[in-house]
Amino acid sequence: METWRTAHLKQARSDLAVFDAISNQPICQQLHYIQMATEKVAKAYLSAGDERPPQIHDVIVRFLRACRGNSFLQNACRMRREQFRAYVKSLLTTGEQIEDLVPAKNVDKPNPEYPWQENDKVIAPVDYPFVRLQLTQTKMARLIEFVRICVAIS
Amino acid sequence: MDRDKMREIAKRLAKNNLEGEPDIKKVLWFPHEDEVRLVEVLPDVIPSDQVVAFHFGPDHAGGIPVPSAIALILPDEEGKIPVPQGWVDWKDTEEIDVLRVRKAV
Repeated sequence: METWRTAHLKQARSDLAVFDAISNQPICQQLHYIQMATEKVAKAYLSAGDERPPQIHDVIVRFLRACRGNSFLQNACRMRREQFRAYVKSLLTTGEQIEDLVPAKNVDKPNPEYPWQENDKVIAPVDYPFVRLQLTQTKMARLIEFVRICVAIS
Repeated sequence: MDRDKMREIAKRLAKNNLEGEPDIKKVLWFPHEDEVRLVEVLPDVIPSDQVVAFHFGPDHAGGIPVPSAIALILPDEEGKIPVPQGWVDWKDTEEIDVLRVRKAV
């Protein structure tokens, strides 16, 4: 039987599987699944198991900062302590950018789901390049790698 | 586990986290018999209307043999925002001496 934690991780695993399957689709769709997977991993850790996680969105950066001293995750990443801390620190900016993609938070800012307005111009996510979050960038690859590890070990 | 042992584990967890987060100003221990619960006060976290705690399993390699929960708050949120259900009240917390722990790091 699923707990709130395992259910969030299971759904994150499914989000990652969809992300892997849509590499030929526009970047907004890929970012949408990365954002959802990352948020669900963080929310999984908001529950000790049975209790429902609080309904909040700003969890990704908090989660990254909270897990910096965790040697279970450190070992899962096969890193030394200092290396792991530097690694997690290197994920913070990207984590923040991914967190900012949630449309409910920024109604008129770039997000991967809903059109927004910019200088009297309505923009569809599918037409927006999301240059700061290109999937080929090392920082994005690192974050995705970390999310995969969190899902795999849980 | 008895309170003294849990307090020692709480200090060890605080020490582990202080190494990774030099900006931690204060650490509060919320006593519980089965889980080490820490609230860390930092100047640069996102404001929240509740204590948002992340739960981790036992971390034997890190010297934390019991589950743990870590929350990050702003200085002006201490004692004001609600804590998770089942946690002791703010007035029943113990402050971990960050300076002493930091020296031991």
